[in-house]
Amino acid sequence: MFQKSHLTAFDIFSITGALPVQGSLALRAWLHPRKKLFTFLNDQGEESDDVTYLDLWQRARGIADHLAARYPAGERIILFFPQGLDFIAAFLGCLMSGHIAVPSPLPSRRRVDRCVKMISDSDARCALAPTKVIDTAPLCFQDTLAADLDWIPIEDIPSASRLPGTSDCGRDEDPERIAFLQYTSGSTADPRGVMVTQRNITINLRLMRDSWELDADSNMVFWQPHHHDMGLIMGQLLPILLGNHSVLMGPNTVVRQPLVWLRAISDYRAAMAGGPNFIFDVAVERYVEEKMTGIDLSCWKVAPNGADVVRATTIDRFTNLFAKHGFRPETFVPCYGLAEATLVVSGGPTRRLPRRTSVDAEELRIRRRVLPPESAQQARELVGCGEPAYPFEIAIVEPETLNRLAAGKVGEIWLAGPSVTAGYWKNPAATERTFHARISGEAEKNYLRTGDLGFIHGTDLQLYICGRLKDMIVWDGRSLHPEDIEHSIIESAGILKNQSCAVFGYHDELQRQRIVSMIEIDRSLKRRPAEELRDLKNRIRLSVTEEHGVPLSEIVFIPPNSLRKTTSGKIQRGVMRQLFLSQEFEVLEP
Amino acid sequence: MHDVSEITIQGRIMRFISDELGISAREIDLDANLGVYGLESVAASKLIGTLEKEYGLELSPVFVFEFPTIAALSGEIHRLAVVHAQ
Repeated sequence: MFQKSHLTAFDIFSITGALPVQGSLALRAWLHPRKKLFTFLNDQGEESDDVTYLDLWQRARGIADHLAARYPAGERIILFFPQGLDFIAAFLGCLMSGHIAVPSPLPSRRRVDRCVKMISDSDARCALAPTKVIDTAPLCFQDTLAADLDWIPIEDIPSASRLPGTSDCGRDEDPERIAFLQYTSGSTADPRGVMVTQRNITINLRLMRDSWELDADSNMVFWQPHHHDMGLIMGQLLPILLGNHSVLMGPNTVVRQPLVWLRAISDYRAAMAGGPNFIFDVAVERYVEEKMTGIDLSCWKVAPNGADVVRATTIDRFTNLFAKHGFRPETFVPCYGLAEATLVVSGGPTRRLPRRTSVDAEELRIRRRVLPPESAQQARELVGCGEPAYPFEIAIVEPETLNRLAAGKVGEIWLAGPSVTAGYWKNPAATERTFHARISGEAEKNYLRTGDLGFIHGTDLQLYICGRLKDMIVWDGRSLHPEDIEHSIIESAGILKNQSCAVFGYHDELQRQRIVSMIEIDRSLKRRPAEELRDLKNRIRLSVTEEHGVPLSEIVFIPPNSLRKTTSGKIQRGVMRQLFLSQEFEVLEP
Repeated sequence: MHDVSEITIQGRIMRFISDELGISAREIDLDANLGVYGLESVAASKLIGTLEKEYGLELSPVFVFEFPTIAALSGEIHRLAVVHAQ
């Protein structure tokens, strides 16, 4: 390999940190062909499938050969896969053949619109999927733009039989080539495919490995879906770079039986396992001491907690409860990241307790200032989301004047570095606005605007996240656009005017995300029977659940013309949220 | 031993919906389809797990879809818990 008879551990470390990820797989399939790479657990926690390094390379190579014979390089290939081990072979096959992978959730009824928009925005002509998906999915797309997709059943594609060599490692490939499109940003009406290059992937995987000191012995247990950046990059690509053995399972398995997750961490001696904050809460809520027999969590070194608000109470409860099962408090690694920056931006240092700071909640919310709490009631405990991971550079910027802010000041988080992605697919205007921002009065350097608010602490150097600049709602790690939910509400109710509804999120006293809608209705409705309003509420709730998969906690009916709007007629959701929280509004209800 | 009367089980499910989804108890209807409240697949799995723990039962992953209202769900849990206790 690489004209050498032997590669040292240092060689392998440097090479995998530079090659495209499919090249690292080829190298490892050559180095340790029979080592197990992934094991999949079913919803009972039993092993139902596994794949070695060589198996996965040969399956992906077979898919690449099949695609290369049919589609020109650069074509988008959309991937519809249930949880399991077929997805990653299809994904890597696309990368090997120079096609652009587009991971998608399965096209259930609720998601058809979103899938169709994704297919038309990416202009994909071909879909790869298992037969059982192909038996039903095309029906969902009848009479849509997506009806003409070519469907390729993954079972029909044979594995390659040859062995990998140096030429399969992709040393000379263009690192700026787009590897895949990540469609988690943007609203349904305006989908945004983040263009992730081969270099972006390599850099982000490398920074996780280096910041968290992971290696081939760092086994992992992951359960996030592969159409999410965390599930794909951290859960399924990082293992390839590291050369470890990773255990995968579906999200429903873990949410229903968090014990399956904890037992897998113990049984497979995993060094790394994590997810959004809520999964640690679920594990605490469902704890039964007698069922923990034989579970030893002392192998667990890194527990990334990211993609959502990281709560101090969650960390404390989890740590206190699981300490007697070997869990160490310094295992928690709160982190921050976003698809536009590939995945992880900050997190760590490891082997130290997560950093915290107590701030005045009012000052932060109203004046965006970080001050010690005025009283115990005003105190809000923030958890540091890690130091910037090399080679990221983080700037905190005043979002109106675009001036750089000093440590300890709250502003928009801006990022620079080779892990920042290439922009949004076929959307130069949004790419310009979001990826090519300039700090006023500084040399010409492009930054990515994250839309998140935060500050860098003057002494502990941690990045603290304080909320969103825009109205985005984050639910279990998913970003939702209020305008999409407002649209569903107005459609489902049938009697509402456009622009007569405001949707926003807030965190309750236990820092749980709640979604509220304030809806203007005609005063005459007040005189209608109570059941009618109740049915209306049920109809609205059902449509929001079906179309967005989130619950609407509160539906508040308000008089006509009481929604606050800007002079150009845009709904001021932030103002409505303030009015709602301070109870300064008139309710229209029988 | 747990109280496994239907009314207690109804109260437990309502409390789950109200804590988990933030919907005030007075707006929760015993006979409405649980889908109305935003109990999609992940939240439903969580509810099944909670009920399994609370009443010492083993339930099918699609239990909530087979008994999709609070009334139906609590009736069935009550029946299973009584059988289980014998």
